[in-house]
Amino acid sequence: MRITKRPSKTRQEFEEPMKAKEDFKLDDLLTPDLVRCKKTLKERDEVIEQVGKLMFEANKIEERYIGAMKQVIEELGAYMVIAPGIALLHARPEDGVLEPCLALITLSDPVIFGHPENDPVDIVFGLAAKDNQSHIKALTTLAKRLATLGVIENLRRANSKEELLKEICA
Amino acid sequence: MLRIVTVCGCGQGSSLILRMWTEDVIREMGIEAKVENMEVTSAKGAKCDLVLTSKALVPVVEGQNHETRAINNYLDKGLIRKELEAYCDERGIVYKKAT
Repeated sequence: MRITKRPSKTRQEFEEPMKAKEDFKLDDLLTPDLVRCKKTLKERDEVIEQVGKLMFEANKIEERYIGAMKQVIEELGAYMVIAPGIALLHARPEDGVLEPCLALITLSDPVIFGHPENDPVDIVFGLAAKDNQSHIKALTTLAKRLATLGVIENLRRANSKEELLKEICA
Repeated sequence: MLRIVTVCGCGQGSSLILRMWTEDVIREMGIEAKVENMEVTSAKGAKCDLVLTSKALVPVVEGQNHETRAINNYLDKGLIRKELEAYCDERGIVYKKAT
């Protein structure tokens, strides 16, 4: 009887599952497959669909999460345009989140979202969170990065997703 | 102890960001306050002193139990400080002035 020996795990592989939930860092959630630069989109719904598509194709959300993000805006207004030109789209964990993630699309032409003061939008983040806690570290890192002088301008000036990622995860 | 609540539609996105800055600001101002973040449905009846949220959500969370103030730029800590200073000035709450 031939016994095949399973390759032993590297130390990193062994420790991965034990990583505490609170440890999601920004680059854990914002991966290159979730980023697009200077897309041309005409309307808010199109923007939400494109952000959702990135997250869906990366197997982070169920398709219904995309509809849920649209519904949040329809019910509550465009509150997620959190700063001039910047939107943070998201719905609730129970609306179909498979794995937490953060997506980013910058737009070549800004789009109206319906916020009384912060329209139009040209930088769009999509957030899928599993609970109320585990993405806090990543989100606060993102907020501090965006609040740093010059970062938002650099995001607007970036011409590739590599440049975007470099600016955010620096 | 001042009770402050930050609010967004789902309780785990923009309200978290606002909460983080608010906690920084109250620490810098040296005032005794507790900050919580919630989603919109819990916020209207929240037993607290002050609710901070987006201008778009003010009509939804305004209530008689608390004062509601709009923050329009969640990335501008200075704006949050301005609102909190105004709130404290109105109530005679002492705080450390910004250097």
